[in-house]
Amino acid sequence: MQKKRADSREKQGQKFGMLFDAPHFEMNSNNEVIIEGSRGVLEYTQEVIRINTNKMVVTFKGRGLNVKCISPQELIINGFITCIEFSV
Amino acid sequence: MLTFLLRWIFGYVDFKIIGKFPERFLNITINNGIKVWDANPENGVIFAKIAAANYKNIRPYAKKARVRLKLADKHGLPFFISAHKTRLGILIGMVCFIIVLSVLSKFVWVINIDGNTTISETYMRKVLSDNGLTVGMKLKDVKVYSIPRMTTLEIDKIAWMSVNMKGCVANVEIKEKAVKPSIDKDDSSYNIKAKKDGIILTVEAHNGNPVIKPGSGVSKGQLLVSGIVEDKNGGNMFVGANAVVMAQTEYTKNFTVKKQTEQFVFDDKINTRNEIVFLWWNIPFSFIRQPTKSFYSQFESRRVNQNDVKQPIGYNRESMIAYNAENVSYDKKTFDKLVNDRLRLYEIFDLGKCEKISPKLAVTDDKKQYNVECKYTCNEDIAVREKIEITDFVTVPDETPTEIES
Repeated sequence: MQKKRADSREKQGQKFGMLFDAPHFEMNSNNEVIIEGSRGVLEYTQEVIRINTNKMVVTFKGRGLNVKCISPQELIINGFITCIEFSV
Repeated sequence: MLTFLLRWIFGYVDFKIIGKFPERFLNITINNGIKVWDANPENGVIFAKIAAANYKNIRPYAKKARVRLKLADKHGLPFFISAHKTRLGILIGMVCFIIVLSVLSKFVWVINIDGNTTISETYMRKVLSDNGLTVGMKLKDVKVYSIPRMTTLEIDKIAWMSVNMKGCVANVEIKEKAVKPSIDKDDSSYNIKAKKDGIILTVEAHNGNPVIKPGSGVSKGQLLVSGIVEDKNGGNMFVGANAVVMAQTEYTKNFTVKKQTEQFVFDDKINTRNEIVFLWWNIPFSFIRQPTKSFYSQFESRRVNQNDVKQPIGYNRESMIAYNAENVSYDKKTFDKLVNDRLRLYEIFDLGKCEKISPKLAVTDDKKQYNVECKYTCNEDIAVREKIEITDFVTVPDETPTEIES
């Protein structure tokens, strides 16, 4: 059954292991995070950045945070990340 | 870098987003396909950058998000142009520069010739010019296939050549033919004869039969070593005689030196004419006339060199010095120097190979001039090879017509 799901995801162009219609996070240490599947920025300060994804709100806390680049679906956050919170 | 360049060309602005929910404004703007970058929060205000063309379009979104936008700074080419709009000269200069650059880049400015060892570069340039490759011609007229073919046909020494165009530079590469070495297969018979009168000192015959002995005097054209030798059977055999015959010879050099000579005395003042060279124009910037009396002129031409390429920009300078011709008589020191110089030249160019033993100088005084005579006694090789001809042995008898009796 799991194999069948994985095959169908691959057919849809998704990587193996990625959940369909869910945000995807990719982190380089605690200095950079690439977020795919964002729906917008809810809060933006140097200490806190809150991102709206489809089903939850993700909060990044740290020092000197900033949004390096932003598009309707993706964004990259730079800075010293100390905490990640998920609010469902 | 490319992104930055494109943004600079099209222009961008720094602006502040002031309000309660600046994040909402960011979301709306981005969702509407307008790119915002370098968004940095600072004390409740977000600083961001946006393309200059989009700045006016985001005002409705600001109203919708209930934020206020404030322009902080402007960057890029459109703002630079508008700031210098009143300075028309800069614009004209830029346009002229672009036009001149684009026009001049359509011509051949340099021809580099590489690989020629025996063919002179001047001759090569002349042949290339005849075949349609000269400095200043249009790039589109350069026929890179026919020029090598025509040049190779014209110059036999070229084995292979090619013309490669790199911008305004034509690189001509040449490979010369390897010259076949000449093999000496001379089986002819030779005598050794004297090329000058003299007294024989030594005879060193490598081949042939010597007919003179050391101490004997010989005259020019006399046989020294015969090319006819006796074989084992007592017969005669022709060989190519070869010998070194050292003899004592004499040379005399006569010349005259006038007691008074005309000497040029230059003025102190130098008249200099300068002109600037720009492309094919020579623009004078000093208006000095030529001296009325005789003058010596020196011409100097300088061009700007950039990366070993001579540019059509530079200057010409002509220096003119007037002089007077005055009659001056030689003193003893000057006379000796003059005579020594003349004799030295004679020794170098006329007696180069001789071993000079004792030059004897004699000077006789005349009314108007000095007569100088210098006698040299030299040791030198006077042997010269001369081919043995059939006419050396055959004597044609006098043919007297016989009367036919009727």
